[in-house]
Amino acid sequence: MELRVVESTGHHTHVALSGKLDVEGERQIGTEFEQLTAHAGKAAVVDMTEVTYLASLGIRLLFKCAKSLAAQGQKMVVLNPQPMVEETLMTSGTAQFIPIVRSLDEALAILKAE
Amino acid sequence: MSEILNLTVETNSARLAESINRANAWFEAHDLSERIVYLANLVLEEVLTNINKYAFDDDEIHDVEVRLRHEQGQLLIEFKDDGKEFNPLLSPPPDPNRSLDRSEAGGLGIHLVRKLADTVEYQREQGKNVLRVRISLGDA
Repeated sequence: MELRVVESTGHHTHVALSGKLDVEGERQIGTEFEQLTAHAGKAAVVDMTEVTYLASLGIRLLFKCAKSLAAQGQKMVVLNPQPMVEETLMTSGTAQFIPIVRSLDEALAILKAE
Repeated sequence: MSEILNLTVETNSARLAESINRANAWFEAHDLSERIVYLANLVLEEVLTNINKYAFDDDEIHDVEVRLRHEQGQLLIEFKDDGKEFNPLLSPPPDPNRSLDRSEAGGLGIHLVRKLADTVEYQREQGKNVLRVRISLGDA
């Protein structure tokens, strides 16, 4: 699992994940992901275009960080997940709290909305 | 290629990945679709993680028997462990308002398995927890 910062502005952080977000993947990027999202205190775009697999541990990581951001008045959105990853997000209930979007424009519109 | 693959997975072991790799080689040999392989991996990882975390009170290594069977348009994944009696089907689904980020026996991982697999059955047989998960192969 790899984590890459695509853009960091005063308003938001845009990170991209690639690989399998399973037990091993969460171990590899979990701490850094929390630092870049929940601990940064800014809105977050999580690009999941290249995430091929999502297990419950990865869902918990996303949810924990999104909940922390919400407590700070900030939002997280997931950008462009693959079909099975999207189905996993929907089935888990995560998508109720972390909107799924198909473009960066859509992501930024949600993050900037009051 | 056999229609059945038997695996013995050790709890608290770094060899879990090796077992998952063997399962994936078997899936590939059966030419299963990407969706079925995804679901089967999810079932294996979530159930084995749950057993590893909650079935035993000690730190010893225990064997979990896993059987994969390709039968009648279905993939059957069967788990047997000799841990504490635990029927994950009796666990309530996690409340997404409160607990998605918490770790609870029979929590989010089992909820995913129940929602994404076609059938999930639990029985206590001869002192063992037996969980049978079936995934319809559809056009796979």
